Amino acid sequence: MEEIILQKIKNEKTRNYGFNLLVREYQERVYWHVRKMVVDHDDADDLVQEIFVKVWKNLSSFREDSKLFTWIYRIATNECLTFLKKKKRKYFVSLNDVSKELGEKLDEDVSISGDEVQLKLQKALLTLPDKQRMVFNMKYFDDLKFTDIAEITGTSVGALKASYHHAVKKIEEFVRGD
Amino acid sequence: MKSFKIEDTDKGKQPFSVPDGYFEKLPMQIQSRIEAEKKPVLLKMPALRVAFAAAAILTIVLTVVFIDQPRTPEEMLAGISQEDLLAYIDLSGIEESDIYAVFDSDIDDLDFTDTNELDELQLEDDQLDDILIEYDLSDEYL
Repeated sequence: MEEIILQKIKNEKTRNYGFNLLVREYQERVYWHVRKMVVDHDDADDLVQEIFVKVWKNLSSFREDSKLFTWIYRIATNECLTFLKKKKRKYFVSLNDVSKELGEKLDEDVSISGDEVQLKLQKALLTLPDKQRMVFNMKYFDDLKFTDIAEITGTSVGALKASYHHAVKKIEEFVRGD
Repeated sequence: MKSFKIEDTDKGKQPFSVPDGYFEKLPMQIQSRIEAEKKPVLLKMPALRVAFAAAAILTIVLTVVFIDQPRTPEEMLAGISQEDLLAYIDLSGIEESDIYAVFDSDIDDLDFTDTNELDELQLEDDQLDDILIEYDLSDEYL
């Protein structure tokens, strides 16, 4: 599918169609990637739209030395981290306060509040630094290879493996001790 | 949950809910946002448009009045009263010939003939006397 999308995008006449295919192919993965980071649906919705606008604007600068989906993930990851940084700066609150706010949103979500294990897992995730949380989500939920995550985050595979295993340990400890 | 292991969670299931039909509408919303960004920013509110137009006009007027000052010597002199000019000439001792030289005129081309415009009016002597007395010109013309 990625090849077809790229073919359509390269051609000026079929670029719009190619972009439409791209959105339909990746929108759900991008949305869930973002939603797990920002928790709130409205924030996620706004960010996802912004991410795809950026993808559209930068299509001409996409070099095929990376996969299309890792390139999109990289844009999404940067947007999420920037959003969370701004949120902390805007409200002059510490990491713990933002985590508390996101934790309250978890409790409000009807679908998650019925699943005790998932709720505890998501709350445990909020205790991690944003970048580590992002890496955990990409490996655990999205099942990405460490080599792809390395390309997305610009971090070495070794450092990512260490970060992931450390995150798993922290999460398990948090849930067991809760 | 003393024996909790990360593998125990159902990682295939998304943890959050989304509004019904969200992913069907999302491509259209993204397209609309892209279209909106392509268009130039226009002021939608009429009141704002009027305010900006008024501000633009005021800026132009102020620019003309305060910034676009006359630049030629003639325009600059036009802004000075005749009394002030004469007072300056008296004080500086400038001769008539100097003034003609400044304006780059050939003094020979100038007509210094002493004309009396009253002659052209074809007035009777009595009428002429009355006018000269009325305007206090008798010393000059009689």
